Amino acid sequence: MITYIVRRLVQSFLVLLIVMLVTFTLPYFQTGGILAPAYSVLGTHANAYTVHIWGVQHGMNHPYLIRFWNYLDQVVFHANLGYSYKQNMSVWGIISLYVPRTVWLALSALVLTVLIALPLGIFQAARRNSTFDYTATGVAFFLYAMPSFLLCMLMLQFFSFGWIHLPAQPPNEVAPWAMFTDPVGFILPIACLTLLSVAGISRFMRGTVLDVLVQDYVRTARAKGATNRRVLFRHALRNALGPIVTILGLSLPALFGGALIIESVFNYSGLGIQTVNAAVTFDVPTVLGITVLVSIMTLLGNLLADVFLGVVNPRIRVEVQTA
Amino acid sequence: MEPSSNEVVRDELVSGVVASRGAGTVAGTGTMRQQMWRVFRQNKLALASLAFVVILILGAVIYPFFFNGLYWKSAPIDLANTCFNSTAPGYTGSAPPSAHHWLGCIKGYDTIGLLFYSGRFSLGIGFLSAIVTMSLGVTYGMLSGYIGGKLDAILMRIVDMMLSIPGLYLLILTIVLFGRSFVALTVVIGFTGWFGVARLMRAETQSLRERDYVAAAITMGASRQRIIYRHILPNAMSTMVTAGTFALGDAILALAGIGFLGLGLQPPQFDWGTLIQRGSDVFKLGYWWTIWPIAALFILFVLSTNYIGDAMRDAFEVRLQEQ
Repeated sequence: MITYIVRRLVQSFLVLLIVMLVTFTLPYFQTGGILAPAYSVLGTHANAYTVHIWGVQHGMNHPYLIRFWNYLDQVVFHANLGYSYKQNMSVWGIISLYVPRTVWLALSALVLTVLIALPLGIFQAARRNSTFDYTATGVAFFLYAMPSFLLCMLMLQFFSFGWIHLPAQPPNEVAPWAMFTDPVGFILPIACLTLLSVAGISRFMRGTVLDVLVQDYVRTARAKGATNRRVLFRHALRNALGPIVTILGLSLPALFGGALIIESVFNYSGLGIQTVNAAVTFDVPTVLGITVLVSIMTLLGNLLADVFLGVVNPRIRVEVQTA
Repeated sequence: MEPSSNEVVRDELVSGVVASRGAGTVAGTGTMRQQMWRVFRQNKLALASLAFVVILILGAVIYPFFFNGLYWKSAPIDLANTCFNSTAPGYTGSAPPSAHHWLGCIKGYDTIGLLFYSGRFSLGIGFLSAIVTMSLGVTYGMLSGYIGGKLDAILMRIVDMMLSIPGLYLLILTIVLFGRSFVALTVVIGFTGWFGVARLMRAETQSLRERDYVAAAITMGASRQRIIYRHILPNAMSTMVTAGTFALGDAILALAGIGFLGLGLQPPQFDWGTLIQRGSDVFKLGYWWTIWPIAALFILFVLSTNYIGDAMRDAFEVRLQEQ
């Protein structure tokens, strides 16, 4: 098991290196080259001379490979993601300020998704082709076809301006622990994010459980006289857990992307809003830093999913050892 | 190799909703195209969807010509426009639906006109970037799947890596770098969306190259190029068509997300996302008609493309059975 984890860690690190190479190289292809942000930063002071000086100040006079090595050196050995062009802060400073907010949003949505989608999928599979099943499928398909921001706006209309009056905006610009002291403001954003991922995951769960229910061991269990509930939760759920864990790990990028939109709709200053603001103001180091960070979180999520998979399913461990 | 969460989940959704079709028994005789149309016609939902999409495209092409000065040339604010006789103080031009403006007005523009006008850009970027996505993904996946070996391993690691960067963040990063013109958005959306398609096509090619007819072609001395063009490509058509319709839906949703974040096309060009963003600040004050029509349009369009893709897959499969 230890060798398996170490091997996956090394793999993830290699992937991360390539992600950094790509994100670092992309600015070379932007319109106007890597010096393009200088015009946005310097504004009316931009002329050939000041732009050149700005470039030298940011190490842009070095060749590509040396710049990349410096960047890698700083990121890997000093945890230094650079300095924002626009805000007078280091990128790490910006990230450490906003990352707890986004992670809180995404994590609580993930936990709620698991708590709702798994039982929903199982019940749909158990009562296959019933009215309940068809309704849930229809709703899931509807949610899936809808852009995430539209769902947020409709939720706002009904639950904040309409039938009941929940806060339309989570507590902002205060210490991160506001999420515990003032949880009411988080109901709508977390509900939106959860609904969006429940739509997909519950469908997947239904399919997986349906696949498991036709297996021989389920028939054996029924023949032994096990109750329906015991069959579903002891035999079907356990065996369906593997694919579900993988899918949950793979759905992390979508979750972070969804958090970006939801932060924007609910005006909640987290990583997403910072990314968009940085994007609008051509603050390249900030966008790069956040992209690398979110990739790291995604990779870690996938890694955790794989390790968990190895724990619940002994066959995978054996396969890896013999391979 | 695990498929990405989106593909798996979507497959579940589609197979769930369009469960009872009974295609495959109606092909009969006639040319290939007639047979395919006969199967397609059988699916009433797909037929309605096709009609809806055709009306939307025709409207986007034709409608702005009728209102040349208003919506097309530079979309200037028309002071004689009855939208401005709104009773809402401070938000002149956002009038509720009336006999004159069937879907109301958004900030001085008739909503129907805006929908069709912005449809030009949304549909244009959607279709073009879907073409980019498909050509990249199909070429990449087929090469990887057909040649196999080391090349396959390397190419697929690259896809894995790109999939671990959350899509929306990658999209925002590239938009910062390459700007927000029609062409840049098309290229950026096309180039960030093909990873899933590449995976799908690789799997399809891998299964097709093991078929007997490919072995026969190799025995007869057919070149690799000929096998790919004449044997594998036509047989992968049904998968490609399905992937293509999904790519179209995804591209339009991605564009909408970008537009909603304020990173989309800039006036006088509009896309549906930008339109929602423009409506969203008045929507929060209770002007429901600035969002609902566009929401309905979105959901109908994405559902339609999915249904059409599904029916086309059936049609292609029947053609294959007949051969």
